[in-house]
Amino acid sequence: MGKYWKIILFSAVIISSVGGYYIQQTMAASTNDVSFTIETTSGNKEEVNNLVFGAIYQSSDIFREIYFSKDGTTGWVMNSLIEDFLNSKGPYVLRQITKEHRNFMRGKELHPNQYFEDESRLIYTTVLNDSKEMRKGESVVFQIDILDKNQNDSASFKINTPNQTSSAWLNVEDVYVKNGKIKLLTTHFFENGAEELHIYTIDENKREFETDSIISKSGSKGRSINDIRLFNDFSTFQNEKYYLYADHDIPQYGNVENEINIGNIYLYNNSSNEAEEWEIPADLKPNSELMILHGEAIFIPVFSANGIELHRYNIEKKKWEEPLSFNYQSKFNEEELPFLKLSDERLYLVNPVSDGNALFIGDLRTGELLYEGKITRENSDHLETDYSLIIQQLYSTN
Amino acid sequence: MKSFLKLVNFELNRFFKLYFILMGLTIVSQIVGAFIVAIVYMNDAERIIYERQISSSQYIEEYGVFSFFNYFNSGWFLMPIIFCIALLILYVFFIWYRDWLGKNTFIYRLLMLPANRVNIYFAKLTTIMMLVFGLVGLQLLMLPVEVKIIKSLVSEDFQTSFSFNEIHHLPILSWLYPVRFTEFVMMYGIGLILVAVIFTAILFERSYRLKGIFFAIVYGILSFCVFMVPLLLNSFYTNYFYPNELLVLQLVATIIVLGSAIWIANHLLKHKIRV
Repeated sequence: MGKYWKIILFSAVIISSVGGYYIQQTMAASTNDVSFTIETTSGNKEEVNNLVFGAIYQSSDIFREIYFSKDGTTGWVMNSLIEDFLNSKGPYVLRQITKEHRNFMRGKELHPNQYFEDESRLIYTTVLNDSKEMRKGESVVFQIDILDKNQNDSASFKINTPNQTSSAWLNVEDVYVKNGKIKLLTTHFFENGAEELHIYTIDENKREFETDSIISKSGSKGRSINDIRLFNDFSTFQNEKYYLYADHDIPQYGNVENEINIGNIYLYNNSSNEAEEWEIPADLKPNSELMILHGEAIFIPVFSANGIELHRYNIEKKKWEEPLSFNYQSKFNEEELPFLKLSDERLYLVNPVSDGNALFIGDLRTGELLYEGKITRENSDHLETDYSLIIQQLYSTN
Repeated sequence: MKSFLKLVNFELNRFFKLYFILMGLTIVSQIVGAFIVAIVYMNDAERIIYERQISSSQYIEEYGVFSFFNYFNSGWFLMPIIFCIALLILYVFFIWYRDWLGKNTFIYRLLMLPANRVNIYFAKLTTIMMLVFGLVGLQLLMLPVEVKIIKSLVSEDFQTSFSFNEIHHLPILSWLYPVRFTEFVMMYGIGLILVAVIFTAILFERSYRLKGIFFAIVYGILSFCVFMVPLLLNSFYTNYFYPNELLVLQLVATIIVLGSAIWIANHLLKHKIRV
């Protein structure tokens, strides 16, 4: 056996060092895991029951994409190849849908804009043209997949639209389904920088193309590019009663950040199929980039060191209503605004504070503060003191 | 088994002198590098503090603290690793050709051994992997020593905290030491397959000589294609396969490539090899 000492030595060094290292890694994993907790300061605790935050955690050179709720944190180490590979891709809402309808979701693109869901159906739309690139005169072909959730049965059909001009590619922005019609809001991008906003209407029962309406056009204007900016939040799968969009001037030269301008603003009504120009008051124009269309109202947030003032325009009543004010102390900085989301008639705001992030939930109907809490890091003893948590999305699991 | 162990021991002995030199070079370069990088940083910091008459905290505010990345990204640390990798890649070829092209055609004796000839293949494969893991292990033993040296030379105020458990976040080390043991097995498993395919390609060349070069190239391309099938399927049919399905497909492709490499090598060694 003595003559094999080299093999024995090699094996001993390898097993002890590599084995020891990975045992230590496994033991350290539990203490090095990053987890966040939501502590209630005041208000109704149940407000956070169904919330899932998607965020990026950064500490020194470590970046982690994490999801956390009141029940805990899940996430993965970005340097982990296998975890990157094995983790489901796409936004949280689509991961949940994929879990529920695994067969239907096979091969689908993971953009929430392309989906519609109600109690009985899940509808997915995609553009079938090669890499979504159009050739001049080529017809745009959509594929519509419909899952009957009750019967667990799916159907798929293709829709050929009439000839198109030479747009370079197009994106499906939203799917609106009502009264047997499927309406697809699409943006067409042209090689010269111009854009068009189309609404394609499809008869769901006859599976036939009906109309293609161009609701907005933009093009190059001298030294600036004029694109179309949409202000709806398309991260959910429900119908949007209105679309809010505007001409958006981006200068090609000079200081881009300071010169972006919102031009004419339009409101499209999905029930009447009509678009009309909408005026923003002069004093709110500087905040027009932050406009949000939520339900039947347009909200314009104005941030300050004392909190947020939410100006609101009721589309149905065609009038401005009393602004809602939510007060909190903040280190106001125009470059780093708090995370803001309007969903389910609620305002969700996450504002960085010295020892974590403050979470506010307000009622959009009454202006009442429903919940105040703090998002803090747990088990911090083993972790770097400096870290940042960038909230990217908020999902409601209702 | 005994003949296999003998062969592995024999192959290790043949490379041991050069291997010790490699290990020595790595140790010396990295230890000297740890001293130099830390001393240069402290000298620079002291010089700037003296010249500009600023406090340590002001210096840290303007220039930042010592980052262990300075050391792990330095040539002192990286060059010996790259040199070892390059030499071991060369040795993958040399381990076979030295048996034919050496002073005595040693392959005669190897092929005449009263044991299964595929043992030669396995012994060489095991030797290469042991040499790789030996250096991987040595580097793991060296890291805490190097970190300790730097910590002892750089004043505490100028240091960032550095945890040994986070070495997998460092550029080259994330490849050497993947974050999970399963990934370590996968990563070095791919390396093992690559070496096995190269060995079989070499045996093609040694069996059919000039024609063998063509066979070796075709075989190499075929193996690569089979190995890549799951990834190609995934790029052609985006999102069609779920991650766990892709993992199973990759496992099957891996077994096919490794299995065929061993089977072909066995066949060539038994029936086709020329001396």
